[in-house]
Amino acid sequence: MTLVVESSKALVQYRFSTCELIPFAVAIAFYYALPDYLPLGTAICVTAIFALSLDLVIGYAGIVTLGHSVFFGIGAYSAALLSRNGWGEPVSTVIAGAAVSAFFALLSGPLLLRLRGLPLIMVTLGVASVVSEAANKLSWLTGGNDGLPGLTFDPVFKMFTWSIDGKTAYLYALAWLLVVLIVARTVVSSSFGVALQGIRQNELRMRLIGAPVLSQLVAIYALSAGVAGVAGALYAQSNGFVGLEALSVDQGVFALAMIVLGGIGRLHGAIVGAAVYMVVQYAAQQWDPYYWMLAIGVMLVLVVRFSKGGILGALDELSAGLKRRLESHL
Amino acid sequence: MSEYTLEARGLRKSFGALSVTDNVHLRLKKGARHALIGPNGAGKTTLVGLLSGVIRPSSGQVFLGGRDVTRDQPAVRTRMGLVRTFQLTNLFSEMTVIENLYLAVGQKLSTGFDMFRPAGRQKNVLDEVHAVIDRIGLAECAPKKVSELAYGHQRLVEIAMALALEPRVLLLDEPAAGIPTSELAVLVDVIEALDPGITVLIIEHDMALVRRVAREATVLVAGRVLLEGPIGAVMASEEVHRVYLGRAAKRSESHGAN
Repeated sequence: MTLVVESSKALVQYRFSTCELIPFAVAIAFYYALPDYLPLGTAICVTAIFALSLDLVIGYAGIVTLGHSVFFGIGAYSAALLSRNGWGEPVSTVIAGAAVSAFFALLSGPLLLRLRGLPLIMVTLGVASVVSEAANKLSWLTGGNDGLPGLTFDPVFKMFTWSIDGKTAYLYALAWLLVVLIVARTVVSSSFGVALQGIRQNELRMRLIGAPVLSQLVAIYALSAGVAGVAGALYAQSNGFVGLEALSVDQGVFALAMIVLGGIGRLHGAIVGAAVYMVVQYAAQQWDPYYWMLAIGVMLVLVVRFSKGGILGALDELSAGLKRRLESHL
Repeated sequence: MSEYTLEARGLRKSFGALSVTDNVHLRLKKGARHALIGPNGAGKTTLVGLLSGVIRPSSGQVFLGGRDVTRDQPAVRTRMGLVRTFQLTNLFSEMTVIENLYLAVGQKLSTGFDMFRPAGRQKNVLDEVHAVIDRIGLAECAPKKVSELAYGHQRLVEIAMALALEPRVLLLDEPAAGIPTSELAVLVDVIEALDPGITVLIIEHDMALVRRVAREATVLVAGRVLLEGPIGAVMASEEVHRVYLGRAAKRSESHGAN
């Protein structure tokens, strides 16, 4: 009987594998080995959280959206506005940013998530553009084109000040990434997570087994928006500034590229994808500040051409191949 | 509580000028074993679609346990105990058999919003999944992806999905289609072993199977009810032979000649 459960990836997904420690081991090594690059490391953690939020909706529930930048932006502006109004405690600020984003997802989800496929992509893209433009016009709230500069936040847990070397910001963002990953992992390996995969594969049949499909989609959409809000709030805290680029539609598109690059529908793919993407982008910008997108483009084409499952998919194939070879030698 | 578990009153469905369901009345008592037969294109599958809520009727009503469910979504009807199977297999093909059944049982046991307990540790769900697997004899297929199974086995998974939901009313849309003769006995056993309290409506072309499991039958021709009654009387009817059974017999003869 247990044998059968073992055979199912979806059902035993909750089990911890030591491979999952690798990204965090790399992140700690990075902290000691490359202290000059900690701001880049912080940006990678923040972006990874955002990519992870997108993987929850696209990779698991099959909700293809190009408007997720809205929730990142809402989280970022919420954190900025709290700080402007005298609330600087960082952890509660992040939670508040997540809650506001999730709230807007709960409002918009029941309408948006009746759509599928291209109409959904178009409408989410449209909504994101409108929100971005609205933020530009509502300058009394958002600072318009000038953004909200000079944000300050209290020390983390009243102990760790936001030092100029970026150590606090980096470890703080990394800790949030760990928390978000644990939550996301728990959710996708639950019964709810399995139901989402069912909806992605055959929505009609899910309805016919009695599943409340729309409510389940709204639930994951809100959770994902909350995670995107976490990323946005961390962005505000680590930069001390929030501008219109936090709401830029491009972000949602780049995040999609990252999860495709790393491997879609596996959470860790979002982390690996975000890290590789950001590092390549950084190196390419050093190489040529004008044509750096070329490097990103070539990388994406190569990965998609040679591996269906992105970087992690390629690693899976490689390790399976090695295993077979080892077994045939024995 | 109505006398009928499932009732259709004056159901009509037309696509433009084409009337595929024309004023169909159907009444099934609790525990009924009712067959729906008729030539291809008679509108049998459309009728199942109307009853299960996948298709909206142009007019008419559907009652489930005396309650008007005409406006209710399919998911609501399923939660009320109305479960259907599909003529063409309609499963989660990239998932394993156990995962497919997990979805059905998990939904029935309301774990659809259980976000924090690992799926593989929901013991009550897994126990029921295993019980269904044993009951249908799918143990060997259980760890395989549905898309990797032989079609006949996929058909059995289809039945297993329905049983996993513990229906009060079961609509079987050509359950035997595609099941090899060698495994037909499993299907017959499963249907015969159903709780006598379950109301069953079965669409089937295999007359031997219909005779065995059904007690009443409705004959549908061109969207209309031609005849309704005890299975013996329906099978003996001249008219039914002329429009359907005769043709079916002739067809199988010509198949034999080939």
